[in-house]
Amino acid sequence: MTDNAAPHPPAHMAPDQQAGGPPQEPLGDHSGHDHAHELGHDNSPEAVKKEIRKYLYVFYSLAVLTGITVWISTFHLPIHIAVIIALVVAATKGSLVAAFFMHLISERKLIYAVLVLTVFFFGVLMWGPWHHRYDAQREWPGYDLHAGKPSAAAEPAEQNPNHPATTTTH
Amino acid sequence: MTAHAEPLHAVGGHEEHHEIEIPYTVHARPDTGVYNGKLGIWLFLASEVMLFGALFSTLILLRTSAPTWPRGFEELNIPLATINTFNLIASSVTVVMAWANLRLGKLKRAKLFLGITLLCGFIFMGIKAVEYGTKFQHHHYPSTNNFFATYFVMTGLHGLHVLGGMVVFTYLLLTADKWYEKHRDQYTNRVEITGLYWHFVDLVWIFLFPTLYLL
Repeated sequence: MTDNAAPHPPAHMAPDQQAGGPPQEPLGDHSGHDHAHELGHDNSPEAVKKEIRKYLYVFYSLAVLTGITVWISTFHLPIHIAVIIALVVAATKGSLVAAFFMHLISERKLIYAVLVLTVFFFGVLMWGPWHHRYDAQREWPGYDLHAGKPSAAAEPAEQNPNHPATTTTH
Repeated sequence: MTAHAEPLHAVGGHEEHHEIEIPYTVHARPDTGVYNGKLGIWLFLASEVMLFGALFSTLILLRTSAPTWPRGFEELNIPLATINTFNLIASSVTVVMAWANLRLGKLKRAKLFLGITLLCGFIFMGIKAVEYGTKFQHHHYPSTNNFFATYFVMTGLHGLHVLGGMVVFTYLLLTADKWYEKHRDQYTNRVEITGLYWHFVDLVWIFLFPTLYLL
């Protein structure tokens, strides 16, 4: 049963309301467009058509940015430059999807609060590998932090069972 | 609580069945400002960010620790992955188009866009199957090395998410007429939150594509 079902007084009230909980939404006439503002979106034909145009512009932008990413990858740039360019383009594309397709450009405060927490913990996850590199430099003398691998002068991997070179299967 | 309010209680020898009302499936809850489904899907997506974030974190850890690591373009099929990227972006647009058309009252058009989205899902999975098949033919398995282990795990998990989205879109298509006629606003909201999930799947691919294939 849903909240827009035909009203029948006792059943439309959730148990928490009957027990003095928060008030429930009314079961009114759901046939018209009057809920537009309650839904958080303007459902007038003009507004929706404007939104559709916006979605198409975002699609074109995403397609162009994808083309640019692939085109740049054909140059086989050094890994550090390639990573920066790829992440900048991907972050731009991701922002477009989140802002317009997922409507984050005009969302409620609670959703932003959830996302702030998410971004924080995501940051912690990304900090892990970063910290590992710091540890690696301390624990494995001769670890080339810039190249992300043991330097030529480092002790041979087979002499140190804890060396990262011996812990990968590649 | 009065006898009148008890939803499942034998009255006069007959079992009275009052279905339980799920609150705020259409209108915003006054204290949260959003309908329950929307808050629910965002909390779910937050957990999904952690899931994929852990895998990205693992990839960075393995890659920066490895003495050698192949460049994605040396091992993987860029043209196929590029087609899949365009395909997934297009499917994100068709979902919002379906939602917009539901708000305009155009169910037939909305169903068409939902159908195209589902088709895009099938194309994505088909291309992925071709990619995986080629890798297996070349004896590249998750056990081959860390590169293929992360490739198969991350694209595999993402593929499962695409599959999950396709199941929901199929359900939404099959029940469209019934739901839209009876509970128009609720059906529109269902398409919106399924769309939010689908955009997230697109968002993950936007980062997976360059990370695995292009770098």
